Amino acid sequence: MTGQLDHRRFQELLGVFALHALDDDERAAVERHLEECPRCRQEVDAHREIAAALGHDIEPLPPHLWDRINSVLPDAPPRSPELTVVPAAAGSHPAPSVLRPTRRHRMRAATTTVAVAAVAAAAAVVVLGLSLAHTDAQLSRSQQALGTSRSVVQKALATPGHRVVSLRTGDGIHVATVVLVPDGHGYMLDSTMPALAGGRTYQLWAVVNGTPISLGLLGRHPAVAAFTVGSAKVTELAVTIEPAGGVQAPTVSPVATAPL
Amino acid sequence: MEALGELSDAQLVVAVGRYRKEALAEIYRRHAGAVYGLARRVTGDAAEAEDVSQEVFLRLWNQPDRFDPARGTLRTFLLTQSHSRAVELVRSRSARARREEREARLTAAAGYDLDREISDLAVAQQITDAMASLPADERRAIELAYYHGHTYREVASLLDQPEGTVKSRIRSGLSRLRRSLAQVQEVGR
Repeated sequence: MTGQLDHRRFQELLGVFALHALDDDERAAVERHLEECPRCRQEVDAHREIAAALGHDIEPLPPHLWDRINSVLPDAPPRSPELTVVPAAAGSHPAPSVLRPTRRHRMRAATTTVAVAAVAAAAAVVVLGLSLAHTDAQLSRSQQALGTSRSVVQKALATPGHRVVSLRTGDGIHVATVVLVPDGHGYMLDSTMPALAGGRTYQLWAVVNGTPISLGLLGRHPAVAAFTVGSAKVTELAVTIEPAGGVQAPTVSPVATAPL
Repeated sequence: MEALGELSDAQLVVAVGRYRKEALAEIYRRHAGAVYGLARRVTGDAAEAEDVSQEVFLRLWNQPDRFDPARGTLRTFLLTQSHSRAVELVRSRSARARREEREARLTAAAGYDLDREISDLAVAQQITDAMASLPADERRAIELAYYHGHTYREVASLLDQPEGTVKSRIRSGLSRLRRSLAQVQEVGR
């Protein structure tokens, strides 16, 4: 069969592909084939492991190399304090303090144009953390990454001083477990929240001084999520259902809460 | 971030996704020696090796999602990129003289030898042994392709062998290496 011959031709190239020993045209053809052939992908992955083992020469590093790399890394949001309280600009009405979560989302940051009246008054406030132009695929990949490191959660559960709280609906039904560790990290696990239709997302909030601060999006199928509250004094966690992409302030009452 | 040294590579990459520079620094601490070392060996040039290393770590910082722990280790991921970029530099560079000089040294060498300081001696020894136990044709084809950045067509011409033969020797050589390394217990992250 032509198909089999073609496939054998690709198989013969897998070793040289893994060693980057192909001309561009053949390389591109193999790359396309790999997109749809899991078995060949597996073989390439195995060859790559051996190739990496062949590259085991460990050189003493030039001392300045890290500084050089460090200096070209794009700026990240400030790390500490974990949540930066930005005081509202002068105005009679006390605008809500808005905290910037440090969690970075994979998609390009989209500054929302949702203008909550009181927040709009505090023109100096820039909510960077709400780069919420997520797709479910992106979220599930990061959840998958967390899932493959469930040891992170187990470690949290073994940390002295950790707290386990229950997110419950208004009727008292438990929908998710949250583990909080003293260093300010938190994990939401074992969610039984029903999947949402397209165009909507679950959003997680921390209530600080009576104001809900977004901790991030949980997506349409929440399962496991990691977030940070830092040293902020959080009195309650809450989950709302919002339009896909999230919002700066909750538009509805929470579907589940956890008093802390 | 506390206890960075205890986190797995996959956990560190998740942290990189959260703009944790110290996580990238820890990944650098664990793997930059190998990334730089391979680039240095293939390009034969310290400055180019630095460029390659910078690209690899910068790419990890900007696109941590590219790493899929299900497909292999972070070390493999980083070294694959280091090798790929180093080979590109070798091929695009008009420093043919340098390649020819390296080849002259290769053909003069009696056998496979490592003449530089290696910190992970156990792994190094396993690789050396595994390579030494390969049939000479397979070993030379792999060396020319991997360490010298030749395409298989160039290897065929250098070794005066048919292209199909070179392709299949490289493939079977890699499989043979995998089998002999699998026999040795590996301790990895």
